[in-house]
Amino acid sequence: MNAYQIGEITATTGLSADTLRYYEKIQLLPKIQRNAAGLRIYNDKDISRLRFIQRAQKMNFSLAEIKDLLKMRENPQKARKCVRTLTQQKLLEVKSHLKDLKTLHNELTLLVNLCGASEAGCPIIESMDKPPQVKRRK
Amino acid sequence: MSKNSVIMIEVFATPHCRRCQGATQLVHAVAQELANDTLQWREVNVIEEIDYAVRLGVIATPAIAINGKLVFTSLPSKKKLKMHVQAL
Repeated sequence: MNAYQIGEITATTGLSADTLRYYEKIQLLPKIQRNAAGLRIYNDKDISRLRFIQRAQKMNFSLAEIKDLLKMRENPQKARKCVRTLTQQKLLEVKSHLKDLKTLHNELTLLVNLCGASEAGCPIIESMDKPPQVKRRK
Repeated sequence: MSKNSVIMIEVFATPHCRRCQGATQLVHAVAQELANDTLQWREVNVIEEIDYAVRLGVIATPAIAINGKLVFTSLPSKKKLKMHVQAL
């Protein structure tokens, strides 16, 4: 198995040395081996683990959740149900965020179009101080 | 056109929008021409009721909703609007 110093790992993963040490401290990484000089020596398995952590973070998993996922990763046969439950929870969160994002997207699109269509100033800013007013006519 | 149930036309507009004024005048004219007790209309200031506008799918003004449903996303002709209302 290949051996890498911390500088090589930061270059490969884009993670800072502080982050790597922190991951070790909170046990996202196992206790990293040291060489005779006391420097951390990482191996391919550690890199694989770091790649997994990065992917999971992109999928919006928290570090605590990633820690659980890593345990499951070590014993995938037993972990199937747990991983599925955790991922389903994450999926629900993503769906909720998507709904909020869609509404925000539509609102911003409308505001941009309103500003573009306005002939005098920005209707958004001008109307901010006005109290709500609903006209009803027959 | 329905003789009993109320038809509500909503014009989504903003101040300083010339085309919005045209939409408001159009709806006012159509409401007068169709002169029906069940036909009501109102102007919705999009800035003041932005949540409602977004919920209906309004992304630009003017827009016209009928009975809570976005029907015209731009200024329609008088004939087109009248036909749509009469078909209800």
